[in-house]
Amino acid sequence: MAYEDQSEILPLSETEREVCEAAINHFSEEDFQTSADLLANIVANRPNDHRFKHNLAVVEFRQRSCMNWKKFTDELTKAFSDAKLDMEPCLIKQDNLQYPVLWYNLSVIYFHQRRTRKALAVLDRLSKTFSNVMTPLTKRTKLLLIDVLIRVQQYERALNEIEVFEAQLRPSSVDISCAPKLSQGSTAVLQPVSTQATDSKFDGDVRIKLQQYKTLCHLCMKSLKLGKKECRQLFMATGPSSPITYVGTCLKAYHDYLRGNVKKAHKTITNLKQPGTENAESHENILEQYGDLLSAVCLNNEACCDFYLGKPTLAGMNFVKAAAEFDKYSEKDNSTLPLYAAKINMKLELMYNFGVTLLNLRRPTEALKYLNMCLNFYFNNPRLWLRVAECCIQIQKSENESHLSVGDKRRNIIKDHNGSQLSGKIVFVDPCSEYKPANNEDAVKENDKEKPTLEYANICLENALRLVESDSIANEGCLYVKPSTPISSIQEINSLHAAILCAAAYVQLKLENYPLAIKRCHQLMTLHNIPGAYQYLAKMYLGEAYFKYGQLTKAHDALFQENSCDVNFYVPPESDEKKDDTASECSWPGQPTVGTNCSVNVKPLSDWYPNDERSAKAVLVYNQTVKLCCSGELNKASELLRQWISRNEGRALAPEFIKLAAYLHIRLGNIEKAKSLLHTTTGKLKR
Amino acid sequence: MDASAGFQEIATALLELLMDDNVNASSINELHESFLIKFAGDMPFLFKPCHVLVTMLQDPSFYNSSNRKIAALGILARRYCDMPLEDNPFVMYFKSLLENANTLEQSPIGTGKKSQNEPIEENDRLSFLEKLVIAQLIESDSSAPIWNEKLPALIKTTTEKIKKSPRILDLPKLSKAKEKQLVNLKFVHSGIRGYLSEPKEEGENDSDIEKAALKTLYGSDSNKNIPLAFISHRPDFITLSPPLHFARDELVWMMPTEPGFHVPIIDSSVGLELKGEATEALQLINQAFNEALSLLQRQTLLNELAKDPKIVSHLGITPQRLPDLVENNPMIAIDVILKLMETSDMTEYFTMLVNMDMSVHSMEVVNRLTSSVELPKEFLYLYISNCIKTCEGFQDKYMQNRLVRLLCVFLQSLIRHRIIDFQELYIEILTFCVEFSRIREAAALYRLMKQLESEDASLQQILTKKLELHQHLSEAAKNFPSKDKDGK
Repeated sequence: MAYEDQSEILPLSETEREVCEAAINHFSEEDFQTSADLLANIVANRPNDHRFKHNLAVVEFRQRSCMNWKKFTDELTKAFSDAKLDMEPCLIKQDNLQYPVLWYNLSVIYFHQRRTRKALAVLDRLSKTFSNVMTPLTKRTKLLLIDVLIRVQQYERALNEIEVFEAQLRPSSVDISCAPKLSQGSTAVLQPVSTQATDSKFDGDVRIKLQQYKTLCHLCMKSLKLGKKECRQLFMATGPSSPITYVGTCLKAYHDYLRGNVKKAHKTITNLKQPGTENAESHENILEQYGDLLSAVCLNNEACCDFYLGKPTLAGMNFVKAAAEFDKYSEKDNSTLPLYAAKINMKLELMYNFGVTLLNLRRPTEALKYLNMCLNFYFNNPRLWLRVAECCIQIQKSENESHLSVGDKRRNIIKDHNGSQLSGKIVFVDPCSEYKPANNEDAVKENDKEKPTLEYANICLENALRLVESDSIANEGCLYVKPSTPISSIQEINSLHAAILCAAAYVQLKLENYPLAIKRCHQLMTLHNIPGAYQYLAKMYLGEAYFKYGQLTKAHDALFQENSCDVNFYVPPESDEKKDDTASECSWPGQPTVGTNCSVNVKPLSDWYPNDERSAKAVLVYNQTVKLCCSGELNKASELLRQWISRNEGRALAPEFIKLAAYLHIRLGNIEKAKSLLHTTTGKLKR
Repeated sequence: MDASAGFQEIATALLELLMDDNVNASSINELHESFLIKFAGDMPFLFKPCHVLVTMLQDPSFYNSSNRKIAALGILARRYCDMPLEDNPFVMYFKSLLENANTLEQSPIGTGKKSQNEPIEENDRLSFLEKLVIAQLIESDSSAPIWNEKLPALIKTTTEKIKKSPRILDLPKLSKAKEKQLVNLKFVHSGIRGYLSEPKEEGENDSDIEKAALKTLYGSDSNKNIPLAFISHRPDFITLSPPLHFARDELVWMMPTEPGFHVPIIDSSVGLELKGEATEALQLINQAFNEALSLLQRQTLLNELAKDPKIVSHLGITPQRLPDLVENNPMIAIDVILKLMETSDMTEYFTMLVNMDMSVHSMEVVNRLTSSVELPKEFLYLYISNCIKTCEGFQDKYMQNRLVRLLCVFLQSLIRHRIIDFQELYIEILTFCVEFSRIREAAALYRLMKQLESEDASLQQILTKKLELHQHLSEAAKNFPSKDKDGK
């Protein structure tokens, strides 16, 4: 239909052609004013030709620096309706495509409005309609496609596109400026010779962009060696004379950050943070010219560095500052900003970062608030589900240390001693307030949803487990954990899997679902190459779960057989080949273990107790004794306890051990011994 | 309701019931009757007062006389004697009281051994006499006369019994009931009381002690409304909470990407359409995608392409559209491909060609291409494999025969011109020939292969002989004394 309409339009006169040519020239030289004037003349003569009208709209839009984009969006919609086209990407047919520029402009609008999926649908189809000729439109379309692919984390596909693109850009390919220029489909165009210069400048820009994208893709896929190489090439491509752009600087900092050279990354970012030091442009200019909210970006990245440098409090502060910068930006009327700077959104990312930081700062209630909000968007992220569960666990039990720390002994053992009264009583402190699982399952589903209960943690962990065990990981070669970059190394996926299973076993144990707790422990133990701490915990949980499930022999085996109390968080490297990432472009397998040394450290940032072999052993001995006590083997229990106490002679005993000893005395009928033990350890209790 | 409601009142009422005068003047049945009347509000189970009674029994402050202990235990036994003993909720308690009764005296608390050396207050344990009385009661049913005996009389008859018979306690019913209850219990006797009692000091008044104990143990102010007397302690496992998961690069690192690079552009084709021949070429090629061109049209298009080879890049010939062109206009397709090969990356075009349905036209194009340029080997082999597969899968016999013939001729030409090395596809082609041996061309292809094979074999033989000769000569040369070696 559109084709017929077009044929009805009268051909241009020779003068009109010249005017038209001049307008295009001025446009490519970014002289939008003249270009607009010339086009306005043609439009005045041909009011029915929608193609000129749209061109004029574009020139005017560019003339006002992409401001007032709502008006342009309306004009684009009108252009589509004038061309009798629906804005449906499925209409893009491979042969004989009408008006590819309209589609490209539409995808640009989608991209900047963050309607990424729509933009991808258009670009995907549009890029397939092109032959091998590299027109500016083709190049722009492909670049935008690559940018969209990066935004949706399809780095491998983006790299493929980049590779094909680079091959086509090679000098041997058709140089568009030398040949008569024809567009796609039915219309053919002659390229004015005068635009050759602008074309080669544009090609230079395209090459730099490609290099940026390539570096970013490699870094996001954790191919650090390739990333480094590309980064170096990027700096070479920009040339020694031209100032290093902020994008390049950020890429370099990211590379350092990933390599574990966080201090260096931190320094680079702080330099960039102050406008005018390395980059002459102010952050405000960058926002208006390039569409990056650099002030918030720098603060966020600085906070990331702080976090991994072991300064979570500082990180938290910087995240708050970044959020304030973003809020300042959001308060602006976005119609006063250019199209590409109008809809920046980093709220979710900031919330996620801040939530994780708060969790590490042991402020789980606040962390939960932020992470729960992220969950509404990133419900496919198993690590986020785990984080939410960790918040619940931390709210229910903030730390382990109180069990075995030597604090105020009297307060920890004896609650009351009313010896001043007649016939005094020594009253023990209440047993540890155990978590009471809710009885009614429906109540859990309805009311406790998103409340920090262990029931909620359980739901979260089951989700996390399902996601981390799904087959798609094997198919896709990586695990998507939006908003973070995908996890591509097997070891890191393994470590996440272990953490989820461990937390799940703990929660099931506390919820008194012992068969499932046992299952989770077994799953955890069968995982390959997990750190010592998880192996230790698996045995402890398994022993307790078996015991409480009434399987005493198995409980005994789990607690007493060859138990190592190694509670480190180091994972030995898989094999030598894993260290080399140049072997394969593909992200899995063959990814490097991140970090400068070959073993992977997965030590949590905030301290976890037991933190050494002795304290781990103490907890093990305690649990072993408890097992013996509760199964009636009192003599064995007291022997075990006696041995442990004598082995640690000279060290202060934790109140839990004294309580256990007193308990054993009472059970064995030595009530006076129990009393005297309590008297001696808790001070002057005797009347 | 408040969980502790009335515990202290119940305990006070029980103490009243167990006043020494009252106890000494009544039978167990009479005491039980008063018990029922006092706690009529807790009917029918009366578990609460019974429970309080048991906790009181465990504290020495309340028992300054033996009869009071017997009376309290008697009430407890009488309360449940109408039902099977295993349904008595306090079976385990009775059992622990009466354990090892023949040898050792037992303290009401705990179940384990008693230390011989430590002094335990008299009222903190049951004497053998007391045990025997309780044993008799627990083993009797509700109609037994023993319930109606006044307490002093009951003790007297029991004392006489001890004198007559040796110290044997037979508790068949209790043991059986205990076995049955054990099945349902997880933690046997692992709990202890939440407090320890200090021994009575000289000059302390019993009733004062009682009052103080009553307040401490049953007062509602203690411990979140659960009276101290009901709290039980049992050591529990330390369940360590898991460590926080640590992940590198978990926090979102934000990357600026200059989105401002992507801006709308104008359609630079508008108004600058080509005139004349180029437009004609474009029209013709568009037509060529859909139908076979006439001889004249074909010639015009080929002329245009010959005039300006670069124009081919601008005719919108995408790899996806290539199959249409091949099917409709193979001659033009060949020309176009040859022209395109000079300028662009052909991988995608070849891929499309290989994956096309096998047809006379596609085969013609490939055949012509092989004679004009050197095609990538893997592409050719893939194409042949695909063709063989297509032939084998064809249902229509007539068409199949046609295609097989065509493929055979095609292959013969490739082999004869040494464009492909038949050894590399030997098995595939041979199987194909055998399968279609009924077709003449296939047989001919088979013969050709065999002939070439034997030629190759004879060539091989000659080569082997030459090689052997060469080896022989080189060995001989080695053995030949060398001047340099000898240094002469």
